[in-house]
Amino acid sequence: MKYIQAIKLKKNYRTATEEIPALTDVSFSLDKGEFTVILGPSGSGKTTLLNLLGGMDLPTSGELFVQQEPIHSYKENELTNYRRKNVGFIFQFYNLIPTLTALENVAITQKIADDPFQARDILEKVQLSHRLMNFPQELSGGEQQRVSIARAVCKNPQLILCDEPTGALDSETGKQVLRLLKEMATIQGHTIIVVTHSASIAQIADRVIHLKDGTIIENIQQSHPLQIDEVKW
Amino acid sequence: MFRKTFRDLRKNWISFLSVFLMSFICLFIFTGIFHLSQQMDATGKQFVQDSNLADSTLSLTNFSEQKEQQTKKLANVAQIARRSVGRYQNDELSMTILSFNHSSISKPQVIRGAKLANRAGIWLDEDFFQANNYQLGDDFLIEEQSYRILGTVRQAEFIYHTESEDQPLPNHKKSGYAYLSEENFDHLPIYPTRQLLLKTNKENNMPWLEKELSNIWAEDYLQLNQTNDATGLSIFFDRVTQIQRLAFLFSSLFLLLTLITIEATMRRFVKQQQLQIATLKAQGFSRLTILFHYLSFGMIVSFLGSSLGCLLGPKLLLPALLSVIGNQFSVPSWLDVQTSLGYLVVAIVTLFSMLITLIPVLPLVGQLPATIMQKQSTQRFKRVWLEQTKFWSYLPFSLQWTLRDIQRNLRRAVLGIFGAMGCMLLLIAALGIKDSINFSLDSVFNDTYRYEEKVNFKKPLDGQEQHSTAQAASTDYQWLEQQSVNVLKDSKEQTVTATIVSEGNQLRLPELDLKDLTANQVGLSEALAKRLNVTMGDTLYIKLKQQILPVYIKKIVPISSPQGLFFSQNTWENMKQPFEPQSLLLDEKDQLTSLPVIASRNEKQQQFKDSQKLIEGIMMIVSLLILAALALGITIMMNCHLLIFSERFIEFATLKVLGFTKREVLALSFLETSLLTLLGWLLGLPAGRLFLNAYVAMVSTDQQQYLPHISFQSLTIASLVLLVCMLLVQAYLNSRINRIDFAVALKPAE
Repeated sequence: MKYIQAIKLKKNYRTATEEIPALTDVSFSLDKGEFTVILGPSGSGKTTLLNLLGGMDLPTSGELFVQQEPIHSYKENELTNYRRKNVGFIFQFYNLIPTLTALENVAITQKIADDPFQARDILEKVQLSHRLMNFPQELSGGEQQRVSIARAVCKNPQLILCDEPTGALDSETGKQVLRLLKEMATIQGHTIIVVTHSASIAQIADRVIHLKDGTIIENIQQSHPLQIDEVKW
Repeated sequence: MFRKTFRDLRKNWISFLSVFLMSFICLFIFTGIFHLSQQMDATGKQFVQDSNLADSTLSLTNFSEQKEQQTKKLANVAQIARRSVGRYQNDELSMTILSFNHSSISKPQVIRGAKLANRAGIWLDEDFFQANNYQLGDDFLIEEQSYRILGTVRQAEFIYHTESEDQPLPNHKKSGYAYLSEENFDHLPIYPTRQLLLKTNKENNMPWLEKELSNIWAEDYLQLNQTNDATGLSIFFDRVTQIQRLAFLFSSLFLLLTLITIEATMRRFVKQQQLQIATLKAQGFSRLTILFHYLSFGMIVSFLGSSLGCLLGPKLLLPALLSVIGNQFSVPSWLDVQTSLGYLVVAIVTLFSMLITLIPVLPLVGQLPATIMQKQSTQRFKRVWLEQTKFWSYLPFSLQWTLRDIQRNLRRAVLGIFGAMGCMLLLIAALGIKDSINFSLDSVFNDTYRYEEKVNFKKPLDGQEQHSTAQAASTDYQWLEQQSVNVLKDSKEQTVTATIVSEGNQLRLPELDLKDLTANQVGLSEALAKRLNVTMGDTLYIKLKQQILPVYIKKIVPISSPQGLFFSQNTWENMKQPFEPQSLLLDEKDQLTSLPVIASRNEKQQQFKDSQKLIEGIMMIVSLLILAALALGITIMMNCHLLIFSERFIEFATLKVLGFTKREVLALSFLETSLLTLLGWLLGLPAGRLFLNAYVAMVSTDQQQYLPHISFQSLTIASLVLLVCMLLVQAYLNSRINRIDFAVALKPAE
């Protein structure tokens, strides 16, 4: 069985007057260690799909298996445990804790994981060993996103979910971040899913799932993804 | 914009409820208490005016027609009238009996029955009459002589009337006053004091008058007192001043808390509405329009709250207070007083609320729309000073995090601390005032007064009478004389009580053994020492009859009651004053039974029980303070912690996404709540004590000084109540944290 298997996922949001479908019959599967990009314009349902994959929300119907575990039927505490052990998150605006240093921001995840990496080692890997004691406000956008990546990786999760990770960065810094994420997949064997509306980023992915109006319009496995330096931003 | 205002108010009603509640309490308490003071003041003044009270009272041993004529001729004296006063006591009652004549000076007002006339009958004090269920025409016995009750009266001098200074509250069933015609009075078997009531000119010079009167009356002259110094009247008007001070004290405290609440509420509200403000600015709304829109929240809520408080205070709180405090005083009826100060305070509260709303709004509306839209704070974070110390590394990580978070927004931390501190302060004041009165009464009746029974005599006993009476007592005893003396201070005279006791152990003063007093040495009660601004070792001059005598303060005595100067029999007699006690303090009761000189007996335990009724009278205020403390504790702490929640919302959501369990996230929030509450509690202890001291000083009278005290039990209760407030606030926060939709919370701003 595949590492991730989504079967006819459906998610509706209820407003005061109507029910709005965000995802309709979404089915796909991913292998372990794949670098996947979920591509789509605003309102296509990509963040909703990321939330379902990350155990932050439950589908209205359909099934979602991660490592053969039925995430779609998890209760709240099981979802928390799933996020705690299996998932690392990287956000567009980093969401670092402003009152914690770079090292502390990474180290907090160490405390909750079963087999974490050392926070210092991970920060060294993302080339921030000289910024350990700096607070987020003292770091550049790229540095903050690297701390965010280190925080996600430190737990040693099998799945890393990224919501527009380069959305707030300039092209050069964005490429650095993507390079780092790619390495996580190819060298460390993490399964990486990146949500973006940027078609350029999709070129480096092993797989691209193209969403529109809540449905998958394309699911392509790229046998020869571009190198990051080849990507035109 | 008006529609938006009202819809926003409806949507955020919980936040604005706290502002409404605080401004309501502020005005409710202020108008309730202030109206009470105004009503008492106006009623008292009107009563004094209607009674045409004498300006001064000259006490004499005997009347003399010739000397009265000489007195009348004095330049400053406008009118004079005779009056005789005596005391009738038995085991059941204690009455002050007065004579009336046809002069209008200090004339009692007839409440029911016949007009005052030279008839064989008596006019009783209305409260005494009612308390004992008398009917007009009933007989009233004085030493087996029967007097028909012809009517009832009230007289302004007796606006506050107690049996003796031992009695902190009036007991109308046991004590009162009565009037008889001069002719009937002279047939009474009681020891009389003759008084000449004087109406003087406005430009009267008291020292001059006193000198003239002492020359005229020579050996008959006893004392000259100003009516305003009369115990009942001075207690009444002292109480009016105390109540006024309380009104301002409490309302100032609540005004401050209202302002703190509104600032916190508006800060949180404006933060929530940041995007809307940016949108309004982007749409082209002027800075002034937006500013007025947000000022209107503070204005509407505080105006509604304070106006409702202003309307309901005089209608609900005033009658409740009047039923407790007003009932201690005897007045014909309470005058209805209208005061506009309440409306002024409404205006002040509303204006201040608007101004304080500017603090969070003003810096925002001046910025460009794009700047306002930025979700992330650009505020640079600084390290806590503790981080520079070695101590920091020993702190648990969660505490380090919380301390940094507190430092990130000190204002909100101060608010949280202030909320807890204010709650603790009011609880200490509420429970402490009850403890202080209990403690003071306990100190008076168990430490100072050691006797079991106090025997009062019909008249002061001379040496021979003392000797024969003492022979009948087989137990330990001590003679007690109490009389008024005038103390000269800064060219003014103050009437104080002199307590003179023989050797014995029935009256023990703290820190002073009266046996140690040598020639002209006295003890002085602490509160009186403060009032006179004198200390140990100072010399005071007292006036006894026509003599001015120096006395040296050997010790300042920290005592609740009696207040005044303390003499031993020896020092008193050394000053050539006759020791003529009116009471005997006995170690055991029922020692003296059938001596004809005895007027009445008081059992100490009964006196103690009667005094404790005072506590019942203040329970209303205690309950009010506890309610205010709860409202304050919950609303301010709730506001503060909701503010913290709104600022840490993203952090909590991030932690939940990272896989932190509910309990781990709640523990972080709980740590901050409990740390701020703990600091508030720690500061609340000394602040509460200071507030209690001020409060106790305000409710103390010249006769009874309460000693500030709070028991460990009350402190524990106050702390537990604060803890419950904190847990309620935390429970609400927990529900908010549990409801965080992190998928939405972490959605980036467009």
